Amino acid sequence: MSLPLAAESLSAASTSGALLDLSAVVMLLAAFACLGSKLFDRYVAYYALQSIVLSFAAGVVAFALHQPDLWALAVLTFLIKGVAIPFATRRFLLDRLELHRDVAISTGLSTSLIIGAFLTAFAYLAIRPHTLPHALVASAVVPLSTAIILLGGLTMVVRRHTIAQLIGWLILENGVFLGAITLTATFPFIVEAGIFLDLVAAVLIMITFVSGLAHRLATATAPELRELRH
Amino acid sequence: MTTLVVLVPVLPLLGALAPLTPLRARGLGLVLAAGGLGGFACAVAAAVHVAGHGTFETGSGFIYVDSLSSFFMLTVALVVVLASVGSIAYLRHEEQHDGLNLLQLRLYAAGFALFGGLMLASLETGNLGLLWVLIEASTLASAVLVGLEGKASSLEAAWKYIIVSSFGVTMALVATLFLYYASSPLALSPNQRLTWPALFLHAGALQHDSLRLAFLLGVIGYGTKVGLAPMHTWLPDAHSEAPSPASAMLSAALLNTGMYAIVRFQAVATPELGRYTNHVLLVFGFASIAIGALFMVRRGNFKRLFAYSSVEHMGIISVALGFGGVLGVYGALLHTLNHAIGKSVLFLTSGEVVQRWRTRDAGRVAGVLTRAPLVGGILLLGSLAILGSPPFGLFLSEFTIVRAGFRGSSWLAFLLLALLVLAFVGFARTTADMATGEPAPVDANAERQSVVAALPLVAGLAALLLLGVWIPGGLNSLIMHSIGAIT
Amino acid sequence: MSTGDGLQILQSAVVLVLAPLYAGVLTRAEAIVQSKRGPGVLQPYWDLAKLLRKGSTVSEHASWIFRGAPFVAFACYLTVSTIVPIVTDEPLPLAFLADLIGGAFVLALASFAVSLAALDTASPYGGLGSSRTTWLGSLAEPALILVFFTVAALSQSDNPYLENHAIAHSGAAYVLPTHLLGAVAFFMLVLAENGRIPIDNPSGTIEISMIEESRVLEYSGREYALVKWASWMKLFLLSAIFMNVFVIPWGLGHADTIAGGFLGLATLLGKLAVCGLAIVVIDSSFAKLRFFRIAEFLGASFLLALIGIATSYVIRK
Repeated sequence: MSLPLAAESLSAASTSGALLDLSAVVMLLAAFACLGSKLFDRYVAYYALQSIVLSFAAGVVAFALHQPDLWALAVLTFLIKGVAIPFATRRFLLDRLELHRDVAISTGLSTSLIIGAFLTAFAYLAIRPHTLPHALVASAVVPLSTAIILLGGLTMVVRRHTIAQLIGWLILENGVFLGAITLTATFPFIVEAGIFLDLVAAVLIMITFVSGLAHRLATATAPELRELRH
Repeated sequence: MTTLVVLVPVLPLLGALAPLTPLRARGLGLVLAAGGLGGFACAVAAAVHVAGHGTFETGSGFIYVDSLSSFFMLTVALVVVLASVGSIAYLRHEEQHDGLNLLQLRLYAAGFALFGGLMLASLETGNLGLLWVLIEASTLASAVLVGLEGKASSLEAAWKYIIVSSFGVTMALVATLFLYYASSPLALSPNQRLTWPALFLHAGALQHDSLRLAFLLGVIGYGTKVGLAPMHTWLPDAHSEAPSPASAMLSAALLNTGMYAIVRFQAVATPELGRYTNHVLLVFGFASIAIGALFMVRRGNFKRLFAYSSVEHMGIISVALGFGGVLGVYGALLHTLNHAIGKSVLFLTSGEVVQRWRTRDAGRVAGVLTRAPLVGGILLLGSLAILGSPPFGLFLSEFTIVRAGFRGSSWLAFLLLALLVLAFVGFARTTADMATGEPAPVDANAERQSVVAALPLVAGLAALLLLGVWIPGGLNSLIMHSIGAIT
Repeated sequence: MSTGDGLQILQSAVVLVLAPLYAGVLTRAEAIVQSKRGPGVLQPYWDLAKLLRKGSTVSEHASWIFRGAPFVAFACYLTVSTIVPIVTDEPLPLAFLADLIGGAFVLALASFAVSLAALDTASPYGGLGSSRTTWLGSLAEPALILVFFTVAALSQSDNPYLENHAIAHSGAAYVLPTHLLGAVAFFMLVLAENGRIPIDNPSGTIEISMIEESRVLEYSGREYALVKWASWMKLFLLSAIFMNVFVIPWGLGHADTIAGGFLGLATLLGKLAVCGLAIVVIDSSFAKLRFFRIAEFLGASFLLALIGIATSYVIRK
């Protein structure tokens, strides 16, 4: 297998490694920005930014490891996550339901940012380089993708609005995807494609539910989920 | 054999085409039932084939059927049959009483068919990545069913379901990735590194730390699907808001596919990690039993009661896997089958109660035995069965599990017994109150009991009774071979 | 007098003399961007000359703190001018006085002195300004220290000159996320410490909304001249540190000859033009933040620096 060669080409010192590190940090910052914002447009915009950077990172890995499947994935990511999903969310949810400010936040913004910083630190500490001896990639990417996953999860937990939870889940998926393409670059394409399909279907269904919820509850602000308790 | 294996999921899936035809409720229900029965028949045939000719593998591991797969396929296919037959009466009733409009009926049919077919397909693949894809896909199909009735509470339950499930399943994806990563020391092709037989063969050579993380995340992730505490939060809402046949499928079948994934993960992880896997499963299992038992004491929505009972039973299965050994795994598998049948019966019964009393609140239902004797009887007997009283099947499986527990550490087994008693009290109280007493002032529709509706109920209960006193030789050998496949 | 001493004097002289010019250019540029004529670029010099000739009125309630604070602040900034890289890339004779952390302390001392003086006069606006500035400082100082640590993580040292070398001599180090994040965080702090948009409006005249300016409302005459000069020097110094350590660490003169110093001066003017441009663009594009949202702004700066440092631990070469 060509893996030994690949390992060197993606170390931190090489250009592709540095680009990957940079992309991962930008994605992390986008996740923080999403956590720290209160406007729905911003959520979607930061998610779109994150996805576009993710597709760029996929392209870098594809280029460095000469994997044609990854090119296809990079393009798919760009089209679906970078363009289609933000557009669909904007058009079918934000515009139709006329949502602007998110007021359904459990803790204050500053508190959630601080918790996010702690989670990032935790991710850095927990994923030590020595647990990944066969690291294919720039070693910063794995803790960064873990941090993005944790931040996505935090967004889902802290926000009570369904759209914010949806964006949180999408950010989480981005983190998983980043970890996937860099940690296991040779993941079978058919499975990746399947994962993509699931993602698209899930988003479509979620969008439908949110529209339906907003209709039913007929509140101007968000569907705060209170019906089912205990 | 390939045809058989392909037909098992495809026949139920064909039901998804039914909405394209001008069939009404009854027709849709019949198509679903036909698909379910066909699938079940093929599953039986496949099991027989596997028993005779050994493991079947094709498509470089994408299709893989061994004894464990065929056991689970049989269980799930049986639930699909029971639920689809129950759907006939359900759909007809809803159409007659304007509960669902035509679009909703068609969505039900499509969702049900996809759900059943995808679940069965996920049990037939040996590629863990594809397993993930199919389990997630079946989750999405079932989400449509949960939100079908379109009320605010249904949509909310569906939303909670899909978001918590997706979160959990994403964890399972990370687990799969880590498993893939842990197999990097093996000199296999990328596809093979994800297939279960190859991983199981080389299980001792997997990278330790990544494998630990993979297993833990796998239990957390797939455990969300199974309903293990503390990831069970979506379960009560989803199972109570879905239409009753769908609840049956959710509780009895979908949870089992998640458990199937956990069993596979455990089999791969144990050679390298040893008792760690058992400890993890014990922790989550006991947490689930405790939470299930505690929440069952509340009186309220009786479908939620059944849902918490599912949490409890999944906990029992997890504890059984945690106890380990031949006895533990045998108990786990047997309990999976028994619980599947029992829970289907209970949920279908609850469907009858809901349709007659038009409420899900246990406080407003009383006198089921008087108003609808068959339903009331099955409710009572079904509750007894699900709580593990003899002579029903669950008693046998729980007994086996407790025995397995005593083999290891006895105080854990005592804890298990104590929690089971607690659960018994909580559950029995509610259903006994529902079944007996004066019929509630809210007038129930005085309908005749339809034969079609009663069929799955009686059949299921009879099966439970049978399994309580006698385990057929074929079943026994199937289970023993399954245990052999994973140890 | 050796070359080193000469360069030392040159450096401090540059800071002293050019700080008002820098402020003047910024004011003029902002006015032009806003389609106004604006004052001339040399206006600050005329202001200084005017103020130095005037007498000062001091409140009866003020003590020696009020009279001494401008001198303290001025002296502090002059001190800082000797220890950071302004025109040369090697430390000058007096650079032993403090490293970057020490420099941060000295800057804080200056701000502290002025805040005390504002309280001294018992004027309400003075108290208001002091409390606001101190609150701002309590949020900005940790971020500042962390930012210095980000560069320290790259150069394994606290010395600004060594930090400058670490970044100037290694292209890879320049594009590290640690460095980039530290640069952005430091720029945000430059804006915060000098009371620019989006923290405070430097050209505002509404006392109730002033943060830093209201501390010096009571000053007049000579002390006022010193205080204003000191604040211009602060802006000049922080911008110079930003450009010379973070953004464009090249182009500093060698410490061998005086000519090297003048070369460094020339490049410094260019760099400050770039920095000034960035400040002007931000001043004209954004609005002032609501007061309590400044905490979020500084928190963001803190966070960026924190992530930068943390990332430096996980990126292995």
